[in-house]
Parts: sequence; structure tokens; C-alpha cells
Amino acid sequence: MIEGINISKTYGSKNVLRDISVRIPMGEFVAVLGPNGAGKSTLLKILALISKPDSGQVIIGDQSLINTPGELKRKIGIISHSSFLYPELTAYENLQFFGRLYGMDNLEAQIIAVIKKVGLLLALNEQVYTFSRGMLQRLSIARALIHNPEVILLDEPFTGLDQHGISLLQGVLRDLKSNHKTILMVTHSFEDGMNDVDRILILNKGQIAADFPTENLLSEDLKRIYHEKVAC
Amino acid sequence: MGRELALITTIFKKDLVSEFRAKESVVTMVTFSVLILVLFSMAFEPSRRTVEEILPGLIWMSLIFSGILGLNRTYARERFNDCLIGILSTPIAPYQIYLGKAASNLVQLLFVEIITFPLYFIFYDLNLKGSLGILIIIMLIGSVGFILVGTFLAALTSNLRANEALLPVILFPLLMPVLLAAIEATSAVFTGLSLDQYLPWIKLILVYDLIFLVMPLLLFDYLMEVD
Amino acid sequence: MKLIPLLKKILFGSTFVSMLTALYLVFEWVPIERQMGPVQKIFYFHVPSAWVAFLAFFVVFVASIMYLKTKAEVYDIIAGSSAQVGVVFTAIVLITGPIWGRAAWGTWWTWDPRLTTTLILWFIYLAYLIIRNSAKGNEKNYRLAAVFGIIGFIDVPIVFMAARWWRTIHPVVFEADNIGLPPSMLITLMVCLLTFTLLYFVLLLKSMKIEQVERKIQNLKSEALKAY
Repeated sequence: MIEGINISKTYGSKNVLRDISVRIPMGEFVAVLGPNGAGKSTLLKILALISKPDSGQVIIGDQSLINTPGELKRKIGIISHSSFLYPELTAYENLQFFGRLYGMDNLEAQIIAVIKKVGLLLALNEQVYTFSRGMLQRLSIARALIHNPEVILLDEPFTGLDQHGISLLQGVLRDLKSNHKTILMVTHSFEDGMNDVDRILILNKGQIAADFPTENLLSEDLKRIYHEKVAC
Repeated sequence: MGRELALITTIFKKDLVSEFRAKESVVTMVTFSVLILVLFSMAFEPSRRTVEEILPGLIWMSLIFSGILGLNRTYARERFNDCLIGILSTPIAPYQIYLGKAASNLVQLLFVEIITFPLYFIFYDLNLKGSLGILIIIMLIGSVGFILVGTFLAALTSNLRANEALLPVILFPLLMPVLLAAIEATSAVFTGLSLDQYLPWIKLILVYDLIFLVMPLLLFDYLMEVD
Repeated sequence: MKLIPLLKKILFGSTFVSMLTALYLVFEWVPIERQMGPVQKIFYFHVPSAWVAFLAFFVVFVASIMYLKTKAEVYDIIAGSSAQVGVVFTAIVLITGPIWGRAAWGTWWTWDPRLTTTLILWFIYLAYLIIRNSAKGNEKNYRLAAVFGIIGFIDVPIVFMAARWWRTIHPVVFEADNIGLPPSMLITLMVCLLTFTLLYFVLLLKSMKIEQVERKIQNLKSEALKAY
């Protein structure tokens, strides 16, 4: 479960987010759509606790427990269009580095498990700059999931992927969903990864313009709603 | 405490491993600093007597010029692939990133010093009149001061356009006290003055080190803030 | 609401009166110094400029802390404006100092601790302004500038200490100070100090106004561009 309550953020005199509240219960997959500059990635960074909101708060997981930001960050994994990987380090070293930052015990077994999952076991000790785009993408997914987070945040994850990469990532998302992970995806695409989405938020000018379930929603309907909400 | 230290060493090790593997800055730094040494010796053709006067300044200037090259790389590596965002999404605190990076930069600079220092003695035919041990201490604490401020300000300039050119311009004025103190102390050791004659300089360096250890710890959060 | 414009008027008025008084005192009233002659009058501009420069940089320091604490735009504007005024007055110190030095000691520049510190100070706040201007309108840069405004100010006393020790270890060529001013000179100096302080606040307000207008224009422009 992840929840943002009354979140506002301004840069100078620009209101990037105006009093936004979102709640994603456990196991739900929500997509956030919106034009450039609508505040999508700002919202994602705030939910990921990377950026601080001017007002409002973020709740992750069981709110009865008092958690430090550090502990909360352990519950979040981010998959982005950037890989967050160091080219000079090997796949193993990259995962080890982030695993240590998460303060994980029993790291080695975890690395092997997650690297097997993305099918990179043979490339484990290769430096990342030798990787193809597809391998890089798989490793960056492994990086995001190394600490087995409850909440997965995706920042335009389909940007720059070829067809093969798209279907791979879609498979990963389906997998995560069947494991009851809470997922929020910021995107500008109407198709990629939309198959498993439960709910769509449309963000415009820093506010939530629409919030609706995807059940029985046709892709033409989605486009129509989007243009209605964003055009005005 | 142990956990915090583990995070700092994680950053430290990562930086050193990727640096020594890519050999980007260390090799450039060593080459550059030797080059300065050679060019200066051609430019000034120092006589035996003047060598003692100009060499301490020359040593420190060449260290700082080559050190700048390494400092500029520190955060460039984190911007590539947006790794910094990745780091900031983990539980690590900004000051831990700073300390890890400062430690790694220090090791790189000391590595450069270990290689170039003997060369100074060879090229300039120098014989040290004071104690080598004290000289090493001065080199060490002077380098610490430089790296502490440098690592901090490199984080600042890495956010700006034209950052590589900007770093020396904003760094050098702040470095003036530690640079001056280190040069004076080094020169005193070269000429074999007694310790109490240059002890104030060593104290000044230590005070500087302490202040610029504390200030970044207080302010580094603001440099790592993401909009 | 009416109070602030009124205060501004009082400030501008008293600066004007005090400026005229100061000019009269410096050029008409105070006797010409015997040893150095008219060139000694630089003293009445040099010392107050140095004072204003330090005051300005102290304001940068305080406003920077306030900006980081509160994120209120006005503190950033105060800090930036004060730094501009401070750099100008530091430049005046650096120009008048050598002219004085040439007449008094026969040399343009000496590495006197105060002069050295002032020079370094000038570089530090020039760097501050470069940071602040390197991407206008980007809020992050104001934060970076504020961090530098704090750390730069902390550095100043250490710079001064280093410069002083440096000069005591090397032979001191010139005794810089003439302690014990006659009363007429002291009065003139005091009036000049007051005038320059008032002038600082006038310039600070003007500079802030310019910055605020610039930001307003910038916002209007980007609003207008959005329409396309």
C-alpha cells in the first residue's frame, strides 16, 4: 500500500502539484497518464521519498508502525527509463552495491536468485558497459527488485525499448502483480504495459483530472477521456 | 554506527573500484601532475638556491590542478545513467555519500602524490633538510583539507552548466588558507626550520580540516535535494 | 501598509542629506592631512566601503541560512542583491587601496593581510554571483548559491588568519596602521560610515526591486509562451 495525502509542490512560483491525494491499495496496479509538465515524475519522486513535498505526506505499508525514511525506502523499488547502473562495474558488483545500500543480509544468495530470474546468470561477472540494451534493461529490473520491495514505482519504463524489451517488461509487471505487489507506473503511452493496469489516473496541471478503473475500458475510450480531460 | 560506516565504505569502495577500473582520472591526474612538474622546471630553470623557495608552491599547485580533474569526475559518474537518483532512492543519507566520496577522492590524490613526490626530488635534485615524517603529515592533512572542500564544491558545480570550468573558479578562493598554510609548512620542512616556527600553520590546516568536515555534514543535504 | 513606503522615503531622504554632509565634511571641513596631503581623503571612502562590503556579505550569510530554512523567495533575493552590492564595494576597496598605497608607501599593492583578505573575498563573492547567475530562474541554483554563501562566509576569518600569519612570518615591509585619529578626522569618518551604511540599504532595496521585476517579467513571459 502506498498513499500520498494532500501533496503540494512548487518550484519558485510554479505550482507543479496542487494538493494531490492518491491511494494505491496492496496488489493494485495504477497507471498515471498526463502531458509533459503535468507533474507526473515529480509525483513519482515524492512517492519514492527522493524529493520532499512542500506540504502533505506519504504513507507506505502499515501506517501503524512508525518508520524512519530509511526503513520506508526499503519498501520501494524504482524502475526507470534510466538504468541506474555503473558501466565499469560488473552485474554482480552493481547489484551488490545497491544491496548493501539497502542494508541487506544474505546478499549473495539474493543476488543469484534475482539474476537468475532475469536470465543474466551467465553475464554475472561481466562489466555492464559490455551489455546490450536488452541485458541492461533486465539488469536494471533486477536492481530495482534486489531488496524485494512491496511497492514498485515505474518512471516511463517503456521509453526507448524495442518490441522485445516491451514484452519482457510486460511479463515482469504481470509477475509482480500476481505476487500482490503495489505498482504505480508513470507513462505517456496508451498501450505499453496497459494490459494489467487496474486503474488510471490522469494528471493535468498538477491536479488529478480523472481517476477511473480500466475494467471493460476500450483503448478508444481511454484516448477520448484523455483528450477531454487534458484539452481544457 | 556500524551500519552507517558500512554505507560510507560501500560508496567508497564502489567509487574506487570503478575509478581504478576505468582508470579515467587517476591516470590523467598522474600524467598531468608530472607534466606540470616538467614544464615548470623548463619555464623557470630554477637554480639550486631558488628551488627550495619555489618548490613547495609548485608541488601544491600541481597537486591542486591535477586534483581538480579527479573531483570533476566524481559526480559526472553519478549523473551518467542517473545513478545518483538510484542511490538517493536507497536508505543512505546524503552525508554518507559525501564522506564515502571524499574518502575515495583522498585515496586517489594520495596515490598521485606517492607517484609524483619522488619525482620532485629527482627532477629538482632536492635534499630535504627537515623530517620526512612531518612532511608526510603535512601532505596528508593538507590533502584532506583540499579534498573535503573539493568534494563538497564538486557536488555543487555538478548541478550547473559549464561545471568543469566552474569548479576551479569557486574552489580556489576557498582553498586559499589551507593552500597557503600547506605551502608555508612544506617550505619550512624543506629548509629545516624548527617545528615551533611552523606549528601555527599545521594548526591552521587542522582547524580548516575540521571546519570543512563539519560544514559539508550540515549542508550536503541541500546539494543532494532532488526537485 | 503605508508604513513601508514611508520608511523607504525616510531612508532615501536621510541618505541624501547624509551624503551631502559627508561630502562637505570630507572636501571642505576636515583639514588636509599634513604628511600625505589631499590623497589622504581616500581614507574616508576606502574604510566605509570596506565596512559596507563586510556588512553586505554578512547579510548574504544570514539571508542564505534563512533561505535554506524557509525556502522563502525573498531571502534569496536579499542574499543575491546584497552580494552584488558587496562585490561593488569590495571593488571600490580594491581600487582605492592601491591608490592610497601608491601615495603613502610608494607602491600599488602590498600583500597586507587586510588587502589580501579583501581580494580573496572579492573572488569568493564573484564566484557566488557566477553560481547564482549560471541558470537564472532555476530554483535549485538559488539553493546552491545559498550553500555557497554560507560556506564562503565561514571561510573569510580563516583567510584573514592565514593572511596575517603569512605576513608576520615574512618580513613586514609597511606598517599599515595610523592609530589615533584627530577628532575632526574621526567625526568625518563616522559620518562617512553612516552615509555608506545608508547607501548600502538604498542600493540593496533598489537591487532587490530590479530582481523582483526581472522575475515578474520572466514569469509573465513563460505564462505567455504557454499559450502557444
